[in-house]
Amino acid sequence: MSESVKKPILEVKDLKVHFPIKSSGGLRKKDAVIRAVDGISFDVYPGETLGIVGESGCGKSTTVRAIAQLTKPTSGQVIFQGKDLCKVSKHELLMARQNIQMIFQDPYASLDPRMTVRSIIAEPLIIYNKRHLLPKELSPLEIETRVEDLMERVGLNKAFKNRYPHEFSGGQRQRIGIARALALNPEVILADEPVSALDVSIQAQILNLLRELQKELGLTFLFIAHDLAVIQYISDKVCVMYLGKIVETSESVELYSNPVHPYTKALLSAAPIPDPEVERKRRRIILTGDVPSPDKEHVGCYFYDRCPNKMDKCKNHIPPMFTVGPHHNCACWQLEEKFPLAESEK
Amino acid sequence: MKFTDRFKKQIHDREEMHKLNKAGRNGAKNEFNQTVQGNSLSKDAWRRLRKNKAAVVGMCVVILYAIISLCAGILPIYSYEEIIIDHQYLPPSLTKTAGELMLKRQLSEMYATSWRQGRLSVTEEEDAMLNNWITLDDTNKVWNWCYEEGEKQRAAGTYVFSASEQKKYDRLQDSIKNDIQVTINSVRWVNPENGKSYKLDNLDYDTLVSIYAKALGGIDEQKVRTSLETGVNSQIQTEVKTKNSESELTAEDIQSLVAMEKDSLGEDGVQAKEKSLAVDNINVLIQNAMTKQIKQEIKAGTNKEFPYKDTETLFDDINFKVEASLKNSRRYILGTDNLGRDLLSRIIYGGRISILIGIVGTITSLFIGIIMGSLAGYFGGRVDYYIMRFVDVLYGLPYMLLVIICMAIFGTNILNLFFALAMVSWLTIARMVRGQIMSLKNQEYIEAARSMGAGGWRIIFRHLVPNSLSVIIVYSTLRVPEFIMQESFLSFLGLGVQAPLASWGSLIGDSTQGMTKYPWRLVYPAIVMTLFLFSMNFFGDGLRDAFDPQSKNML
Ligand SMILES: Nc1ncnc2c1ncn2[C@@H]1O[C@H](COP(=O)(O)OP(=O)(O)OP(=O)(O)O)[C@@H](O)[C@H]1O
Ligand SMILES: [Mg+2]
Repeated sequence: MSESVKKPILEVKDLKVHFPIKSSGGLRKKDAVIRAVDGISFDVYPGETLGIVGESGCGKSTTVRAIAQLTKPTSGQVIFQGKDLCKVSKHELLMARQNIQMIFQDPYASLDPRMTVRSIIAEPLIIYNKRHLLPKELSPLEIETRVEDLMERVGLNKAFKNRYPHEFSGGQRQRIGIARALALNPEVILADEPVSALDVSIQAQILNLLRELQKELGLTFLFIAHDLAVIQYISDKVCVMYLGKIVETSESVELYSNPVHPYTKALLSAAPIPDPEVERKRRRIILTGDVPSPDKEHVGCYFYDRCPNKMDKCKNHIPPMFTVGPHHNCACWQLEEKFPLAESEK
Repeated sequence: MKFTDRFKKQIHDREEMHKLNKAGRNGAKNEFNQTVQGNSLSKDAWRRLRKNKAAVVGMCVVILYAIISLCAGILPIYSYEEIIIDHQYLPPSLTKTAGELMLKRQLSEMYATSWRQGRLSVTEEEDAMLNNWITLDDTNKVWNWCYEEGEKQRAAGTYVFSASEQKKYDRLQDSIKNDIQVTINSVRWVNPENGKSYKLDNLDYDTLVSIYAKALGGIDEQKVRTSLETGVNSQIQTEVKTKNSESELTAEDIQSLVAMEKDSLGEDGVQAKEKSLAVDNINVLIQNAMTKQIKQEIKAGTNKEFPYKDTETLFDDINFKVEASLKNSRRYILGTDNLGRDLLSRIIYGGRISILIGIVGTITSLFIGIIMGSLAGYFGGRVDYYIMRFVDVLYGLPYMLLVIICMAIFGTNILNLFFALAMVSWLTIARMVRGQIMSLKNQEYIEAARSMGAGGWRIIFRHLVPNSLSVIIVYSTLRVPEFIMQESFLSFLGLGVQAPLASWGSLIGDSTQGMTKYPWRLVYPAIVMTLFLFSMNFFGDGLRDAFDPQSKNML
């Protein structure tokens, strides 16, 4: 299949999520907003894994929640199966959600402590069954069988199905969460840091499980992490986010071998390398300053305050995405001379 | 057609599930091929509850109370509303009969009087002691002391009854031996034509009139009709008078009011009143006739075993059950009240009403409170704003005043009491539930449910409410006692249950007069009530722990 024929399954176009914050004190102060996500665009292709990295608070979770329509985006489009999810009716949204399921970050908080594993996994089935949205109506018996199959699929003993979540370890709970996400046979799974709350050894197990499931069921993942190693392991393409903006997107291999944006470089240099020789020799890029608060409007590069090689232009002009290579784009003014924009993109 | 098909399919599926459950599929096999039976939330809760000793004891006590109140009708206790004036204020006693207690009281009184008259010889010291007790208002002690001293002296022959005392004593002895209490039950009229029997209430007016006429000794039916009419008339008149007791009414006003009242009742209403009057009168006639008859039999020397139960027929075709007992051989283990009613049965019947008020009030207030609170908490924004302002306004009004106004407007009966208490008691629950839900609704599992397309109701009632359950349960078990207390307060003000019905609260309230002289009237209901409230609290605590699957006292 040639690249040009492949159509994205999920398109995000100029997505913005701004949270209004009520200003206290001060009369007639303009209501400020937190620009948690400030105009990002990307495409996800079927069967692929798109990773999103970025430091804490850069808006990764908000992006995912906006895609799943758990938070209403301020503007922008989320196009799934040709429909803009921000504008569809309730019914259509339900239909779409059947194909977009989520795995959550915290395996402790994301399972209702008062439900047994069985009812947790069966819940999406029951909801969709009741609304007659499933392709085929399920009997209680079929639901039961499906739950057991799912449990076995994610590596849980089905004998545990009557237990409560608190009787499981973190890894097991995350498996329950995965089984729940798989219950409706979705096409896309939005995984919001599914492993960051887990132990390293368990992380590997869960990642392997996700990869297996992807291969078997042809799933598409939108995978969020702040751990570069995890992203490298699981994703085909990577977006690097900074302060609600995407600064660099690339294929995974390319990004790790050839980072372009100074922020990506800093991130990569900060990650420890498990080879003491290399680790000792390499030079780290230390970022100075804190992540600026996302509540002010930017006129220049979002990374300006902390960039080690900033220029005058960066201060007042937001950099566009420069094409560095095939599937490799980066937003940094330094690339302007080497990779000038095509006339049409200006 | 489609619907029935689906229904059939559902039933079929259920059966399949059931079979599989039985075959142990639901309790799936573990790696050792053992069947692991699942625990439902309630089963699990029960297991944990059993571990908690205090809660189990509390639960047992609560259940015991429930059983006793449910079975009050068939327990071997005296009637809770039967007034026996002779038995006023009898102290509790396990061994002594009412007669013996009455005798003792009579004797104490006599000895005390004779001490005052100087006929009971006492030393000076004793005299001072008695006077001191009197100044301390401790009449019980005086009477007890006089009784013992008098009995001693009478036995020794140093004290002799005066003639009037002797007469009183003999009369009392006689009445203790012979007084009988006759109760009439299940009065039925047998139709002589076809032999069917009817309850008097279900008879039509004309038959009732003819029965009544016969019972009165075969007088003219027309006379009976007029007498019933005047009877009802005077009933309505007294009602009207008590209703308008503040305004001064002339006889004419009253006449017109009565006519109005009658109009509003309609012909049927008036006739119903006449019927119930006739039934009451017939019952009284039967009772009097039976009392007379049994007394005569005793005088004539027939040996009747008491208590005596029989079915009798009077006035040709009225059947009824008679129960006659020697009035003064009754035993009141918890004493009697100011009208000679058995305190034990009043406590039991009172508990019935108190517990009912506690439970019904809690359930209704929970129902309203949970719905309002979760709507406000979950939807937030404008819904929240308006609901909570409404709650605030109600909060601002004095709670008891509101209840009292309610009761005053709608009249004092038990249903209105429930209604009034529930109307204003959901406020706290609503606030509490709202707070709980606000703190829970941003949890990730709620988000997860939303991402799976769960609607508002499902999220509220499947996720949010069950997760707030522990708080709700504890609060509501604490709420039951509170309702009982509030009802007590209202009964105390005369707005609660109306005599002859009783509740723990009204019993305690009534007992405050003469609290020092008749302490048992206060003590027993108070003990019974306190025990119940205690057990309820322990049970509630146990329930909270039990319903929390994460609670640590699992094993
Ligand atoms: N409901 C909200 N109201 C206001 N601000 C919010 C809200 N949710 C998120 N934010 C803000 O948006 C920004 C992005 O938050 P987000 O949760 O998306 O970060 P994240 O990249 O997922 O971080 P982490 O890696 O720690 O999970 C943060 O500054 C946060 O304070
Ligand atoms: Mg996050």
